[in-house]
Amino acid sequence: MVHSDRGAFTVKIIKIKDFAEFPGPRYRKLGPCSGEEFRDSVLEPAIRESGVDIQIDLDGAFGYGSSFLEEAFGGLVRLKIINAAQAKELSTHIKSDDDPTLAEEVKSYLTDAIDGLEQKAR
Amino acid sequence: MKKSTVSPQLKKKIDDKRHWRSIRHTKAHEEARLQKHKEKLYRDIRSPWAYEVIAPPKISIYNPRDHERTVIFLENLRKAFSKHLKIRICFRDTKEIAAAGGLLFIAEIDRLCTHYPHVKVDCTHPPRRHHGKFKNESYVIESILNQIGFFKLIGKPERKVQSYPTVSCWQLSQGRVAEGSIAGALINQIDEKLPNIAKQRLYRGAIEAISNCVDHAYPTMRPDGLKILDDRWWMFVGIIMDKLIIIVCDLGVGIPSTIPKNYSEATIRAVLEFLKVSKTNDSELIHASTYLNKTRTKMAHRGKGGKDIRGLLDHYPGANLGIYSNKGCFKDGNKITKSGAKHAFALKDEQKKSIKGTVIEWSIPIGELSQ
Repeated sequence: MVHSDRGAFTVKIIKIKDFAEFPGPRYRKLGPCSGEEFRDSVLEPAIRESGVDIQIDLDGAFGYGSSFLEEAFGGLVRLKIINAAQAKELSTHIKSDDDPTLAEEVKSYLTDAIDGLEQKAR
Repeated sequence: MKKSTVSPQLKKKIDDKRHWRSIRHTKAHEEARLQKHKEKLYRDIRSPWAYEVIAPPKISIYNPRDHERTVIFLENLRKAFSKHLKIRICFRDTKEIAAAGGLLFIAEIDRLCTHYPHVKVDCTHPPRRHHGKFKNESYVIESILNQIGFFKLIGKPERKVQSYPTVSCWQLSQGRVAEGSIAGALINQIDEKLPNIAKQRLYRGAIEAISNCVDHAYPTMRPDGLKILDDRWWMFVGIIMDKLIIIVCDLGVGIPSTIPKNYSEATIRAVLEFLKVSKTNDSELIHASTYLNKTRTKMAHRGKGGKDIRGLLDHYPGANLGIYSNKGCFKDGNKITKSGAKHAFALKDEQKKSIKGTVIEWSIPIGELSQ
């Protein structure tokens, strides 16, 4: 984890590369470096500490399966670790210079998870 | 002496005698049977003769004729391992080992050798062939068997044969859990010059296919009657005819068996109606599974993997996807016309015999990957 200054605030930067060079499957039971493990051991503690004022850097890892990304980010909403407003804010803090479509993909998972929760609530 | 005149004491004596004689005979008979069985086992082990399984001319599942012959060969192998102590696999007729068939064969051998360690496996080496204009000697089949680790699996020393660049790039690996580092290392080994974005796309498809194997392929025992618990997956990466080939294989229950467990009946019916399919044979169910993945599983957030498995076709117009599961075969890809227009096509084929597992294969032209 790295800290950088964004204006007057210090922003925590989470590099997925530091968690795993080869991000794995969706669930822990399926294999190492899973989306579930990343969410529980890295994302959730960071959010509990600093809220959604964090930056998530997707660059440097070998690649991502969509299950990994969906479970890591969509799971934050489903497990109510963050609310809809926080999810919207978090989706603007995703950095992916190598493949900009990844940031869009994560954003869509956050949006889908919010929609899913809203549908359930109705 | 008449029966009626026999005294009760004498009758009891005779009955007892008969009773003990019958026990003696049964025991002797059983001992003789065991001795015979022991001798047979000993004879089998000592005998230079082994049960022979003949490999087909083409170990391949790409066309119906080869598919049937390869599946029969694999069935014979399973029968031989379960019933005999010594097996010899004969490659005298084998002229070709294709990628998907080769991976299926090595996965089957790996599974059988692991679970029947007492079975001695030998093989007759494939004969040299004469290829090309000058009819040069060629040891391609033996080189392939070396490369895919067949001789190591059966514990037979490898012979040094000429190595072929088209074969030496083949890489194979296997695992029990969805470990990204195995898939990543294989993709890296095959061509380090590939751009990162291409590697990321290949990795994405591979890790999702492997996750599917771990998550769905082994809900119950494989229906081959062997009662073997082996929940591994196998992966192959290689370059064949200027195309990068990635194959992921499992020896599980197959996609057609897992669909009813993972999707609601209404969803399956809706997709089949959308595809205008009335029959539900294996190839139709595989085709439906690619749509089911696009729609939803019983848990709405899941089922994103299918998108990744088909994703390479969207990025690379020359790419093809082949899914072989049980008796079904589904091929998806793009046809590029002379005018350069891209037309998507999907082919379905129902084979006579089941491979009892799933093979997912991508082939992408190297030229497109390097762009």
